[in-house]
Amino acid sequence: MNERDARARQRVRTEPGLPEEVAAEFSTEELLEFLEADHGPDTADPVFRERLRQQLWETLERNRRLRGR
Amino acid sequence: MSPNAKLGGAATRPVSSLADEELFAGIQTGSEAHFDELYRRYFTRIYAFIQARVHNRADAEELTQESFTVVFRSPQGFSGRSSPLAWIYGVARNTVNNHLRRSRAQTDKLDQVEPQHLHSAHTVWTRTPEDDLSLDRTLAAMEASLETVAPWQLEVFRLRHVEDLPIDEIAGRVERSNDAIRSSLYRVKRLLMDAGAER
Repeated sequence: MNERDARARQRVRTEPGLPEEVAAEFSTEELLEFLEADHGPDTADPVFRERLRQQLWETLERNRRLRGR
Repeated sequence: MSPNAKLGGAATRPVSSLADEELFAGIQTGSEAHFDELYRRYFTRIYAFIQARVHNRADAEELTQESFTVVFRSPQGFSGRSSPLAWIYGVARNTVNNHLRRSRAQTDKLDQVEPQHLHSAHTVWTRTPEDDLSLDRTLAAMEASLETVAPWQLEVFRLRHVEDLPIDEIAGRVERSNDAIRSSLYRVKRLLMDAGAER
């Protein structure tokens, strides 16, 4: 097992809410890449990021109100 | 306010220390702090994962939006699975894979078009009543799909494809970024294509 693979396995083991049996659904490399984003540069447009946040929250609230009726 | 400073409802733990399942539970009770933390936790993961595959900012934004829409359409969607992380990762992966499959299919279709068919605008098309009915249904499906589009996005589509304005000018007119314009154009175009393909 190389160092990169070992790091991935460690991350998968320690990531909250990710039991090892679920990690088995995906390759270690795939999950490593997904989680590596936590430590990489954020290249997204901040305007897009905030607009999407607002849009999603408004949709959630609207759906919650509809379900509450 | 930093997410760390927000507390999760009656609990005294900061939302940043909560597990994904607890964040989803808080979202279902209407807690914006829980939503913000889950969004913060996954935005960069999803965006970076997608951008690495599509190599295009407009598509990355469109697919990130699509992924999050699926995730939050039904916040309890991961129920029955062992981990929200695995579920969300699966959503992002499926969204990208579906996009890449559609792109490949469209490229293949274009490759298969015989050159003489590209001049079909010069031919006379004699329509049958069945053709008219099919056309009406397609237009109705397209109109229905456009009901889900924001008015500004329809305006962007009109400015681009009717007025034939460049992206920069459209962005200036509607006061949004060039990437947002491209993303919007892509979304409307795909809705129209999907509606047409369903007929």
